[in-house]
Amino acid sequence: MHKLSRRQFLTTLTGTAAASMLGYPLLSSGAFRARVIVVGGGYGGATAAKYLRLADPRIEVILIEKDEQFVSCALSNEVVAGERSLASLSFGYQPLTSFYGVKVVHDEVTRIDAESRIVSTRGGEEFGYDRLIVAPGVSFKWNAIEGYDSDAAQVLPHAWKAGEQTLLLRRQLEAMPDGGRVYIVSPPNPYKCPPGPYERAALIAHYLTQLGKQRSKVIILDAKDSFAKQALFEQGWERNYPGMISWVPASADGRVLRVDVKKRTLYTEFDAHRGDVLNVIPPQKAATIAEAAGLTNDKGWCPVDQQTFESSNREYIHVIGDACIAGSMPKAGYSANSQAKVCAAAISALIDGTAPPAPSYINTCYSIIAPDYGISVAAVYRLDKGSIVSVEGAGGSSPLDASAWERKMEATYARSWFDNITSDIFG
Amino acid sequence: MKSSLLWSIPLVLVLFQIHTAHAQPSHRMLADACAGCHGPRGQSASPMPIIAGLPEAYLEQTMRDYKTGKRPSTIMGRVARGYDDAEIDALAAFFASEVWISPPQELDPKQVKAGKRIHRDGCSSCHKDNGRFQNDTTPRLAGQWKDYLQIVLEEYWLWERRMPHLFMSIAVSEFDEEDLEALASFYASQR
Repeated sequence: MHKLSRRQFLTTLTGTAAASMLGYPLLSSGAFRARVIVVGGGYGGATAAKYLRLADPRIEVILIEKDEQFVSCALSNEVVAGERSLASLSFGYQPLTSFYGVKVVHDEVTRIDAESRIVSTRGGEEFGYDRLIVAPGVSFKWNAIEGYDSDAAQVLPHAWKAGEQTLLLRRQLEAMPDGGRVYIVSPPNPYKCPPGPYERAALIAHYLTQLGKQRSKVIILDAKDSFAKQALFEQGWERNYPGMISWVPASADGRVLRVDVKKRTLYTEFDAHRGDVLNVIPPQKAATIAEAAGLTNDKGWCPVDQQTFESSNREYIHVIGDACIAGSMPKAGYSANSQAKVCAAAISALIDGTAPPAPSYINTCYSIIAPDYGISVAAVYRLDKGSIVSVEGAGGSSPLDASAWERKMEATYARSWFDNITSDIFG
Repeated sequence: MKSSLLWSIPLVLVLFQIHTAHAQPSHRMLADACAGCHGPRGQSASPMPIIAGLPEAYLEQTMRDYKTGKRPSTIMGRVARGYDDAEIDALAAFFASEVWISPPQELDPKQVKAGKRIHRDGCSSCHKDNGRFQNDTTPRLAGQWKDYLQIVLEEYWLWERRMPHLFMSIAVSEFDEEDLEALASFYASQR
């Protein structure tokens, strides 16, 4: 029901925004004062491209993204659970061009020459820049779990990048027998979407129940000893799916060391677990392009100035989103969106030759445990002595003693958040 | 010489204070962060409420009520506590200066009709002009998202939510639960 009205509404909104930009020089009229290239069109990159154009239409913005459509990882657990289509998570880049004058190039950046300030693409193009924003997300550490590489992922999905992987996991749940076992391998910190594996466990239990397979078990083997919103998840699992979900921390031999794809078996230090569906979420690092450009530290993530997001390693290159180290902000869609706005404002000021403005950041992560049962964690962030820290006394998780009505509201707001943040980015 | 030096001491102190005080982010910087939930410029694309163009004083008071817990919330209390008074004022000023846009919504005409009757009998003395009227204590309702209107009406209706504005809880207590959806549909149908 919301689908149609939302589309119409977005048209109204973007029409207004377009009208308000008529006074500015558009891309075709030439004469830009600076060029910013954005690598990667996800929550971070696409937001940065749009907000740079809003901040200063005299800046030429070129967004280089290999896919024609963005598919959101946030809410993709609802696709795994058969509650939502992949199409409802997919967005095109046309509005960024039509309404904000962002030039979108569908190609893959293969090389960043920080010295000459030029990026090269697989398609053989070269683009010079005044400033570069790198928002490539994460790459998986293949074989960090022995035997789990990109080929293994075709059989045992990670489903940690939304798309075919998400559907593969869903099909496997549909095919498994009642009384079967689903394993989720949860990665060590840091990784993108910290509450994601635990939301997934809940929504898989929901789907199995819907499919009449409530004798099945969902087992999380974890490389950690605690996780985001843990008490809320454990309470939510027990209330909605009593006895179906269990969590094995690293200290109880939960860390998976090896995978045998053919035997569908996970090996921890002392045990072997054979399952019907194995969802292996591998350890992560900043995407390989960031590593290749010399932007990462020895742990594989990109240190930055947390006000401007300019790389600590390379001048004129800014890194935002999951790939960067942003103080106490988690690797999440809303974090990336918020960082992108701060970064865009800083770059606009730097191009003007003025001081970057005082930043303000925010993040909320909603998790859906059942269709009418949601929880959240939120924080407002400030820069303090060069580090992003959460404002004391604010933020935190939903209360443990919330009413059923409040849990239902949070599930509603979770989906509403998705509609609004995607209209903020792609609308 | 001596007197001019003395004279300059307060100035130096003032400058020092400005330099060391917590630099306040601009109105836009603060407000842009809210767009993830409330939509660009507060023009929400789904049930989270539209806040663009609401009265400044109303927005300020509502944020303060969230912050102190006087108004219950799922998440806004946790968010509002992240902002000091000056920042709340800045946010209110920003969103008050934006334009309200009523989104098209699919509504049940029967509900809208029933809601109009309830509005006339029970609500129109404050929510004048079919809910378009707004002042420092009365938010605009016309064109707000139906789901959100219904949520807030339910909040007033459920006494255990302990909402501020006792008169609203008393007014709403007259209604049946079905009336709430009708009323929400009516206001949502207005432009």
